[in-house]
Amino acid sequence: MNILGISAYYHDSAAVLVQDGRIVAAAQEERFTRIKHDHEFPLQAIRYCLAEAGISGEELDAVTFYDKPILKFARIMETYFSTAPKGLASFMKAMPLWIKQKLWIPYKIEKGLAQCGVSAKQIYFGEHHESHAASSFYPSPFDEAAILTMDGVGEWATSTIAIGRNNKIEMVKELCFPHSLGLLYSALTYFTGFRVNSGEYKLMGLAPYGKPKYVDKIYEHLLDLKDDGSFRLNMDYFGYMDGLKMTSSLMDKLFDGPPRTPESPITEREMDIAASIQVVTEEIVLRMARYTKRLTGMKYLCLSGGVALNCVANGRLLREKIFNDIYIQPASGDAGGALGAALLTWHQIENQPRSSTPGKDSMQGSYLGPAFTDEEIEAFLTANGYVAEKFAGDTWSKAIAKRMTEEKVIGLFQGRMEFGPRALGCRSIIGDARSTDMQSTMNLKIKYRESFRPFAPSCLAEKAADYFDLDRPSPYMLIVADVKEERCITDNAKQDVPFEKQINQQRSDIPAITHVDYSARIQTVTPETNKPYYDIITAFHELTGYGVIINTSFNVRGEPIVCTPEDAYRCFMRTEMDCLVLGSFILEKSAQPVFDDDENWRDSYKLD
Amino acid sequence: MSGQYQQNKVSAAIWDWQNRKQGERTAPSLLFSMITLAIGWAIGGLFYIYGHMVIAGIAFGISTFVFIASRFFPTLYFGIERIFQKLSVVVGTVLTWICLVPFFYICFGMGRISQLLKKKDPMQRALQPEAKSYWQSCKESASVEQYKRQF
Repeated sequence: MNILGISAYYHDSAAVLVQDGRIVAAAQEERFTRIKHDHEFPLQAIRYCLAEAGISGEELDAVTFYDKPILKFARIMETYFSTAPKGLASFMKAMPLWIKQKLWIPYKIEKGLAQCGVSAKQIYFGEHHESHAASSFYPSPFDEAAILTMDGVGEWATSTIAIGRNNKIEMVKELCFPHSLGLLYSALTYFTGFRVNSGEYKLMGLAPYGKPKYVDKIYEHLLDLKDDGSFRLNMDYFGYMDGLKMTSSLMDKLFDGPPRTPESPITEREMDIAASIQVVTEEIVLRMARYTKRLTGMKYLCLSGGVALNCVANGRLLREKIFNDIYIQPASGDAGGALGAALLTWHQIENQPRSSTPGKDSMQGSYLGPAFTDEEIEAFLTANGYVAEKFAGDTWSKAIAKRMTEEKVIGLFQGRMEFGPRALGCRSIIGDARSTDMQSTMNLKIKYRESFRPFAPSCLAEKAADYFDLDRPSPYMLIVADVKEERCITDNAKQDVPFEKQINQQRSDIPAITHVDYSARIQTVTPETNKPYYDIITAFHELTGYGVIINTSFNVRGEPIVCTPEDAYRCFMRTEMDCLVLGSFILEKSAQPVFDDDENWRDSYKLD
Repeated sequence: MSGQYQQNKVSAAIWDWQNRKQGERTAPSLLFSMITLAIGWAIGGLFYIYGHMVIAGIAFGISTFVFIASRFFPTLYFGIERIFQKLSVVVGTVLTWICLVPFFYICFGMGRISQLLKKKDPMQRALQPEAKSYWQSCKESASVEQYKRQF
């Protein structure tokens, strides 16, 4: 049975194809359209999924949309009823989109499929948080588990607790709009000058630079938090119900001034706000998790929804040992909703059995996107006159590792593209984690992004305990753990030095991936999920004695992660990367012909 | 390379690197041009029937001019098309505001007054310091029929 899951019309549109319960293909629309967080109908992602599964004609059995649009519309109408005469600007922005697109989703699906030469026998609609819950439980390695979903908002729910048993999910408790942990975090993302639905991870990265001095103010003024993690927000401080801004003027008074203007210098206040909201978020997540444990009695927990991408909170949740183990869906945002919707159809609607394998999920390393053959890459390189050298077997990984030891920055493009926000070694930029200059070089010359942003390590799974306080695999870069104390250089890192100097302090013997608080967002790599990437790190280990490298996504600021060899080559030539790996080919920047490019290319990407 | 590389199905579906000519736009089909001309002439004809000779002449003139441009001067046609696109956005925005603003204040304004009179708050904004929990129970699991609905 072929089931297509779709998420669209909010942010991060995506399509997923599930064939008899197995995830065959998954991709976000942004990768094809080159528009970051593209929310349009995922026509190209659908086209890819159908091609990957080899589906044509009437072979598609069902299409499932990840939420219920009419319920969402009703919530929006209810919101205007509750805020009028305020809310006109928001209404005028939202309504044309609803009238034009969002109320016609079955028609859009049929039209989209027709363009791909395919028709579906049935269209289903899952609830937003049910789709999130399904996206984490069904691929998880657990037979039964509690499920906690937290995000901005779906139809009405903003957080839910559910129980997953075998092939069924039972939704148990929910918190409803406007009281939302995701929107609270997004409101302060906006207030600190970052983009909502995009800059939340920057706020998380900024938190360790600050002091949590606003925590008491947040608890006192912004929310009423109960022991079980449930809460209500004081809506007087927020603007998202009746306006286009996330916060109201009362928030300005609370945090000693107006919101930071985007791209203006980051001050101590923003760092302190970031640190404070991180503390509050972790506390809410922990209380919710404890309540979930009490309510369900389950040993295991599955997490999803945008808040589950807060890997600092995830790390804290693990350390508290509330559950024996937790599983986090790597595409926890709305893109993952498409996956949940498809799996929900297979297991919940079609009542098909589910089997889990202890210690192993069914996400296949999240490598669910398109791959390109060496033959096609060679044809592309030849047709354009790009200079490359082909490597085979061990020499390929050794050649890449050697270049890394020379402090070269390498664009790595191989295998199937990752599904979800993280690059996991198939569409990555990699470098030497031992280098003291690598963080600022990569931030300023390669990624063209804020200098405070940390980089994550990819580490051989069996060596992870040598570098980090981590006792379990973290294949999806969703857990933050401390760098081993014996590797840290504490004398050098004084918290009272200026922000700019803190960034460049050497904090450990792997400084490029050690954040200011001696933590790191770890990806553990195994040969089972990504053999070529594992081989590169192994070769690097053989040369240097270090089984850990830097891994950041293959893109520049504001650009979606690269999808095709053409995207990769363009990004390579636009930045100061030294080498590009395209499948079995290695390209040196110095050997390339002059690249004919629009000198204003950066304007084509909206900064995130 | 002399010949075209034969892409596999997946690559062909998402990466058209051999045939794409960036920035190139094609002129509209003859059928499209004829339909556009017919619509313009129909509008002009209506004005003519009702005795508005000048406006009818303008409509005939513009539609004929656009038709000729679309067939023989594509660059000029693309310029005209851009102008019409911008004009349609402006007209659309103005009409949207004219229609939706009164709707917003009449419909939601009345609704809000009704809520205030009944002292109801469906959004549950009030904080309840004395309450032990804000968690709400979910409704029962959906049936297959419910999954077929958008609500």
